[in-house]
Amino acid sequence: MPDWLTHVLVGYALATALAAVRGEIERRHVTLAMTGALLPDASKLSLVVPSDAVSAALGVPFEWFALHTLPVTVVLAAAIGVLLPAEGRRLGVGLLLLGGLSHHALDLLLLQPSGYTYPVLWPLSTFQAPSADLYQSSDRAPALVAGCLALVAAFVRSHALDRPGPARETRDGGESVPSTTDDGTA
Amino acid sequence: MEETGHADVVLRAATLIVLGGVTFGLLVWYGRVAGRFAAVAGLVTSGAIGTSDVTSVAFGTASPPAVAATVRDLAAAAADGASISTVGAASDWRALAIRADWEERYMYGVSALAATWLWLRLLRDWRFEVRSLRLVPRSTEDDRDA
Repeated sequence: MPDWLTHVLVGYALATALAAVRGEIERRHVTLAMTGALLPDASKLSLVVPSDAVSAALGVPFEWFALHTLPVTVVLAAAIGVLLPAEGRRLGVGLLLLGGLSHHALDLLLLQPSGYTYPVLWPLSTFQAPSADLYQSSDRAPALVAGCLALVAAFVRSHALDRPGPARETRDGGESVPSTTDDGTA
Repeated sequence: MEETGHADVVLRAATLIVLGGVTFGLLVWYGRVAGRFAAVAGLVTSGAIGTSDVTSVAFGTASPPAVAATVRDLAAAAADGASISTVGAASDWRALAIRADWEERYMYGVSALAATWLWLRLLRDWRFEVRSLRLVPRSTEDDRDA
């Protein structure tokens, strides 16, 4: 994985850019996309409770890395979707999935020790594509690029809000859209 | 308009249990097949590595290591405990990547920053309502409660 900052920034940038053209996407939906961007790294629970320890405790084979596959990302997004309000649930799950897809897209470009990417489509497929080897998890460039993308997206979004158009429309509870940007932290 | 009835809570709980069961089943299934996938990573376990040194490196967390390799002509240095990874099949290393301590600290540092940012946004934007087993957007709470 690239660092979490890169993932979260890319999730933020994608959802914020989308919000510029889809008025119903509000700040809380951007947060869902950012959450989705970290969903596959739920597999990092292995750093807290190693897979071997779980396997030994339960007496069955066990591997946290399964959480780092696209089909399981869909299952996790669906689980979170169950908790979301019925109104806007489809949008929320869609943004969770957008974040999850961005995570896998970034991870598939990583330098891989084996020369092959992880089986991203497992259990649907065990195919491992040759790795792109563009960067390592500890490289600084991905976060820098993602930060620039996030700034551009926030800028575009804020300008979309300044003009009459789709971004001003709200269909979710009639909440007014902030007049500047949806996120003061970006 | 919102689903707050007992039946809805039961339905959500049942769905979560099913999805949790599916996820757990996939974790177990992957545990059975994980060894079939190409993956190599490990720790430097046999002393400091320096440029142009020839040093043995053990890969894998099992003891004894599942794979052992000889590393030549390193472009960077790493000490015991540093994480190390290779690119290429075990018999034909085509590159070697060593992560320095400060790079490791950077990676975890910015990741902690991102986790904090996201956590604060989640706390500000959403609230988990245990009784009805759902996430409630804070921005519409007033409307809903009114």
